[in-house]
Amino acid sequence: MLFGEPITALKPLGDLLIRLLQMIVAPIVLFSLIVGAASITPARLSKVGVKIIVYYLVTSAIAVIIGLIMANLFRPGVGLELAGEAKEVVVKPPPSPVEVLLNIIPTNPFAALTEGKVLQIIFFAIVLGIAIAYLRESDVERISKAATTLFSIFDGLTETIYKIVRGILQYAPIGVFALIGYVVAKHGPGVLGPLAIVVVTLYVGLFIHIFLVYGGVLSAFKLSIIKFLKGAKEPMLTAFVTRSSSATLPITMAAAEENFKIGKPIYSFTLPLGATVNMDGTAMYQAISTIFIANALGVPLTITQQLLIVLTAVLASIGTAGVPGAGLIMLAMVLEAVGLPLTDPSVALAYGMIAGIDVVLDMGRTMVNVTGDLVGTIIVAKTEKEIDLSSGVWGS
Amino acid sequence: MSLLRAYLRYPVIYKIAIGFVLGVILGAIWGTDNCFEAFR
Repeated sequence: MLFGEPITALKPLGDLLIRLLQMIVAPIVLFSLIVGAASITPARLSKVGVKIIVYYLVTSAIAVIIGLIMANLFRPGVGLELAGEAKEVVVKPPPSPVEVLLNIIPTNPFAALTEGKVLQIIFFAIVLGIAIAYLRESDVERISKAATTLFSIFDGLTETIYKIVRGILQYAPIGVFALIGYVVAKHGPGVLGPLAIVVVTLYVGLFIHIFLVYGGVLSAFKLSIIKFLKGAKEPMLTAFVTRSSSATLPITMAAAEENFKIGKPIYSFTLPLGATVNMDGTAMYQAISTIFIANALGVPLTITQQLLIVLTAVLASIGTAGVPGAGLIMLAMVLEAVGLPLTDPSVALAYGMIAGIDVVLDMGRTMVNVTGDLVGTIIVAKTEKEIDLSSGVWGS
Repeated sequence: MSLLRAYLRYPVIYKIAIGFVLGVILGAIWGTDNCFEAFR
């Protein structure tokens, strides 16, 4: 060894990042989901709202399932055997699917928070958010005022947590440096090969999602995917380069109006909602990354655990989007939910590896997120007869 | 202070990628008996 053994001296720098991320997971899930659910006011939730939310949730679930199928086919991370790093990899025995579903409901929401039970926190946050949304519309002034104040408090807390997240992400490069340095020194540069498989798996999955799922949805509504792609290429490219759905929003809106000839009442509601709620690409990334980490540890996930990935990734997508680095924070959350907590040193190392290549993964997944928003907007516009199919890309 | 300001100015995601690459290089050197061996 060139420097002797003390590569372990680097490890605390990586552990610091992992601890910071863990610190933020429970509060970010709670606050951002409360605000996310409470923002969808029942009065505004018209027929269009219900349609688009159902579309967003269903396509995200399909994306996760495609991700799981791809990951089970390509098996990224198999043979890495990072588990040797830890003394023991404790994967709790998987409960039955019925138990999994029942376990989403916390018997004590405060205990769920202190124990970091992600799905229970998600459930409670959504219920609380919906209740706040209804109370804000109350005819009794005292109640609506109180609910609005409560909403502002949670909104403020969410913004505060986002501020902390941005701070933590500034430290992430150093943490990733330490985690990767440690892994490569221990296992040699060969450990990087499986990361390339992660990238290939994700991009193949995203490609399938665009052509099979979006193509299928569009053709079910008698629309051509080729014409769609022609009209969507600008927002798709912008999303790929900027890796931000929100930053791409003006271009997505322009494409909806000029290329797809969609009525403003539809796209001005569905696209901003999609930029924060709909994350098909990110959901698929969660699935593939989780399987990679499980494989890297040599603990293949059971069907029930994979079902948990679908549930967590889809439900979590309601609130956490729009945050810089949301993908990474959400991944920490999904890992907790399937019983691979970051406190496990091997999980932390594999997580660091995924974080290191995040830029490459983020490009593809953001592009699919934006594409999904547009497809949803188009089909909702079609069912609402708010689209002119004789002009724009449709007429050509 | 100005070094910190310069660090904060650049997008996080690129810094993470740079951290990753530097980590790989450091790990490769540290993990071998001969630093030239790492890049053979």
